Order: sequence, then C-alpha cells, then structure tokens
Amino acid sequence: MMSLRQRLLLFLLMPLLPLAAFLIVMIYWAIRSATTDSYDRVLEGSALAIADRVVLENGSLVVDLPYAALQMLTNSAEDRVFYSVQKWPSGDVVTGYRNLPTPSFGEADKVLQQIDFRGEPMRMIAIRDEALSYSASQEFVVLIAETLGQRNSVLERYLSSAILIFVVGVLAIGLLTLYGVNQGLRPLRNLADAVSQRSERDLRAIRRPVPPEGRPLVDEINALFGRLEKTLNSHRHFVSNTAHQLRTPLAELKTELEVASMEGSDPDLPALSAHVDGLAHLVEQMLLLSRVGVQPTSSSDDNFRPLALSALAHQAVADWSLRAYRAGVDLGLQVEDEGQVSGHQALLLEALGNLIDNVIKHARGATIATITVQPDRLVVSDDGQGFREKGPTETTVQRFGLSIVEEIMDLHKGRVEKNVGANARIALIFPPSQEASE
Amino acid sequence: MRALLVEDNPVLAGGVARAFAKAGLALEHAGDLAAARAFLRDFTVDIILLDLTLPDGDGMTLLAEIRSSDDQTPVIILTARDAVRDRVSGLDRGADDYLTKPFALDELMARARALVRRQGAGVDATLTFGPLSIDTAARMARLDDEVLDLPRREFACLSILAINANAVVSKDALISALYDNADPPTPNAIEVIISRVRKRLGDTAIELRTVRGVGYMLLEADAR
Repeated sequence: MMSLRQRLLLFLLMPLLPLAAFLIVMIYWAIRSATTDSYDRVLEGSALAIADRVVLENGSLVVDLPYAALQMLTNSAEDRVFYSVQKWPSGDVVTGYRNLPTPSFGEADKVLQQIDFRGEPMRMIAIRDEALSYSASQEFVVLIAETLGQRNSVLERYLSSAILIFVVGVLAIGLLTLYGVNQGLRPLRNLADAVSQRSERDLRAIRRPVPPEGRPLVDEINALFGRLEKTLNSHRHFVSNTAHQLRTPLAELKTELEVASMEGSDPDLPALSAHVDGLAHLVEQMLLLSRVGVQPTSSSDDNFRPLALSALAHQAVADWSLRAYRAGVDLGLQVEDEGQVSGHQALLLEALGNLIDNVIKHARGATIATITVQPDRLVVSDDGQGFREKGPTETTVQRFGLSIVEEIMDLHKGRVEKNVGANARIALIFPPSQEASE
Repeated sequence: MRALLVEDNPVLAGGVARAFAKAGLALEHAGDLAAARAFLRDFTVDIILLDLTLPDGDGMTLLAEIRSSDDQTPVIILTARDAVRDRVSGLDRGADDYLTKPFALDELMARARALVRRQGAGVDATLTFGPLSIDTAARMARLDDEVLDLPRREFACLSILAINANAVVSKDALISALYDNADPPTPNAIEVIISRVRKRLGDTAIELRTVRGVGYMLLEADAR
C-alpha cells in the first residue's frame, strides 16, 4: 500500500501538472503575439517609408529607395528581405522582385499575412497608396516580405526563459509541499517512536497527546493492549493455578516414593523419586515465573533494596555446599568486590540457585564450580566439558531454569551473558547503580 | 527425640510418620492449630515441624504463641517455595529453620536432628555425629571410642562444626566464636586451627571440608 506521505504528495502535486501545461500554452501565445506585433510594426514602418518616396514623374512611377528603410530591414544577419513596388491594379513591377504575390486588399489599404515564397514561410506586408502630380495620379502597392528567423529566435528565447522560471517555481512548490507534509505527519512518527520504545512487559494505555485524526488509531491500540493484558493475565493465572494444583499431589507422590525407597522394596524407586523431584522443581519454577511476570516494574516493589552481591553469593554457596559435595562438585566463592546493587534478595538467590543446580546436574565432568563477585556482576563458572543435553524432561527443566534466571535479571534491568561450552561461564550483569536505584 | 508435626495433608503426614518410625524417631501428628495447641498444653516435644497453611489459620500464629510463652523448642517451618516473605518473617519471628515443599524426607530428618543437637549442646553433656561424640561438659571428644586430645581452641572449633554438621559455618562466625574482640587473631590463625583439627580427624568417616571463600563444613564422608 502507498504510504500516507506518498498519497499526500501525489494529491497535492498532481493538479500542478495540467495547470502548469495550461499556463505554459497561455504564455506562449502571449509572447508570440507580442513579438509578432512589434516586428509587424517595423515592417509597416519600412513599407510606409518606401511609399513616401514613390513619386509620379512624367506619368511614370519613380522610386527613390530610402537607405534607412532598407537598413531597418537588413540589420538582422539571419533574415532575408524581399520587396517590390508595383502599379495598381495592373501589377506592373516598378522595382524589386517580380513574383511576390499580390494580396487581395478588399476595402483595406494594408494587409499583413503569412506567405510561402521560394519555399520558405515569410511575413509579408502590402500597402496601397496613390502617387500624385499636378496633372495625374497613379495608385501603387508596396510589398515587403521577410523570413521568420529573428521572430522565431526571439520567441524561443522568451519562451525558454519562461519555462525555466516555471520549472524552478514548480520545484520550489514541490519542496515546500514535501516539507509541509513531513511536518504534518510528525505526530504520527512520534507516536511510532513512542510505541517502538515500549518494553514488551508494558501494556499500559498510550497517554501521549495525538492529533484528532490519530485518536481512533490510538484508541484501538489501547483497547488491544487492554485485551492483550487481560489475556496475558489470565494465561499467567492459568499457569499459576495449574502449578498450584499440581504441587500437592507431587509432594504426596514424592513422599510416598521416598518412604517406599527407605523401606527398600524396589531398586528403581530412587531414580523414580529423582524424576519426581525434577517435575516438582519445574512446577515450582513455573509458579515463580508466573508470579515474577505479574510485577510490571521493579521500582514499585518494596522487595527491591540495596544489597551486597557478596553476601548474597555467600548465602547461596552455604545453602548449596552439601548438595554440590554430594554431586562431586567443589563449590566455592571468590569475592573481588562487595558488589553493591539494588535487588530482590529472594529472587536473586533463586537465580543463583538455578545456575548452581544447573552445573551440578548438567555440566559434564565438572569438579570445580566458583561464584565470582565483581562490582556489577555475579559469575558462575565451572571446569566441565559443557552442558549435557539428556532426557527431554531434564533439558526442559534446565532451559526453564535459565529462562527464569533471564526473567529475574530482566526485572533488575540487567542481563545474562552465557558461555555454555567447555569451562562454562554464566554472568548475571546488573545495570549501573544510579539506574538501578531510580 | 520426639517431634510434633503440624500438617493438614494426611498423605504427607503419613509419609513423614513412616519415615520417622523407620529411623527410630518418635513423631506426633496434629492436623490443625487446635489439635497442636491441645497437645502442647499437656506434653513437651524436642522439635516442632510446622506447616504454615492450616485449615484453621496460619501456622505463624502458633509460632508466635510458642515464643511469647518463652518456650525455646526448636521450630522448623515447612513452607511453599514461593512464599518468600513468610520464609523471611518466619525466621524473624523465632523459627530456627525452614524447608521448602516438596522437601526430601532425609533432609527433614537431618535438619531436625541437627537442631535438636544444637539445642541440647548447651544443656546436654554429649553430642554425637556419626562416629564422633563430643562431651562439652568434660570438654572431651571421641572418635570411634578413641579420645582426641585437643587444645582449647581446636576443641571449641570442632564443637561448633559438629553442632552445625552438614551445614556451612562461615569463617567470620568461627573467628567471633573462638576469639575475643580484644584479642584478634592473625590472618591465617583459623586455617592453622582447622588444619590441626583435620589432622586429628585423620582418615575417618568424618570429613572437614573447606568451602572456598565461605567457611568450613563438617560432614560424613560416605554421605556422598
């Protein structure tokens, strides 16, 4: 579909073209009649000057051609002039070219016309006059024909400068229109910028002032946001409810399995119990994630407080040491900085726990895992051969665990940097503190 | 050791009861707050395992009642994992430990034992952890019935680690327990004491692990 800008430009500029063509034709006619009039006047002057010099001497016509009259006619290098003085009405040539065509005068004494002479278009004037002596009178005509070279070149010159001025004018109008259209469409572009800078979590209505023409669109977008938010919330509630419903039977199942394996009846029971553990963990993470997603901004939550990453990591290592030891992983802490950030302690402990759990369960051949605290980040690294992709359940739990970590860091306006090959390193990076404490 | 479990889910309660019975530990069960109150009026227990969501109210109110009557019986809160605020406020209000549901039965028993051990350490004369037994009154430690002759600080160090067995004791906590503020240790004094204790434990089932950057942990080596 054509853009709004293109449409506006098309409908504003298209009418200019026929208008411009019409104006150019009008200008052509005006210039043409002006040049024709002025050259015709010169032609007529010359003819009158010749007629003045025609006298009747002893019953015959004598012409004493005035130098100035011819001078006037021959000052153009490109034009040729033909003249003739003839008796009227007999047509006997007194002087000049013989075969210039004599026009029909009718009542008039002066005729200006377009003729073809010697294969060229020419402008010819014919005037009829009478030479008088004491005793007699004789009518005669003076004919002067002139080629059109100079008239045409003058016409062309005027016309081409007129067209040039015209083109410049049309271009100027076009540019001004383009500028105007862009200015006029600016609120629309501002709106698009505002929408594009939105976080996907932010589904509040657009409050920015828009021109009345944009209002219906914005209202529709806001209504869509509203419906989307409702859908998302009901989706979250569904996940949350489902997880909640699953929780109790899973806990019961786990307990039953553990008791049964303590009583030692079936060797497969511990493995089964471990699977139920994974499932229960998944359900808990789903619950946590659905809860985390409900909180739109971190700053409004009073659980976000200034805290030291070193203390957090200390607690995580203490919590997980026994499990790591049992899995053959030496878990340790390296504090390079206190790491003061603003954060949600329980969520961050959960995130670190997920990363440690990930190393313990999925890092192939890992024997050493270290949490390093730096000014703006927590790094969990291990010496394994990369993460194993095993059963579908395990990888789902693993991916889910990582996506929870990402979600939690998102809430902190931070990010997760993953390097999950051999000697994996996963860094939780926090934003600069002034941003986090805004 | 006698424990009281306050839990409304019969399947979970039954499972815990069977596991405790299997391990030779006595367990009483109360299905709601009223039953728990009635039981505690007439009897005492060594530890209370307290669920928070009960049919007739919040387990936290029972905890408050117990602590306000100056009863220092250890309490482990059993809570859903996402009840983060409960967890924190539970510890503030005098709970000794918490476990998130679903919990592993052996972990519940280990934590219960550790708490009872810790509680008893002040009063009780002896404390046992696997083959290790410590008589705090006589200041004597035995390993497989062999007496470990330990100087004062090494003995105190081993006692603290044994009370908190299977859990990490931070280096700072050890320092403040072993030294007065007026008598600060040299930077590696703790490492020296730990290495002496470790040497005395030798190649036995008790392992003294260093948790890099955090502290130390005493555990049974075959628990792996």
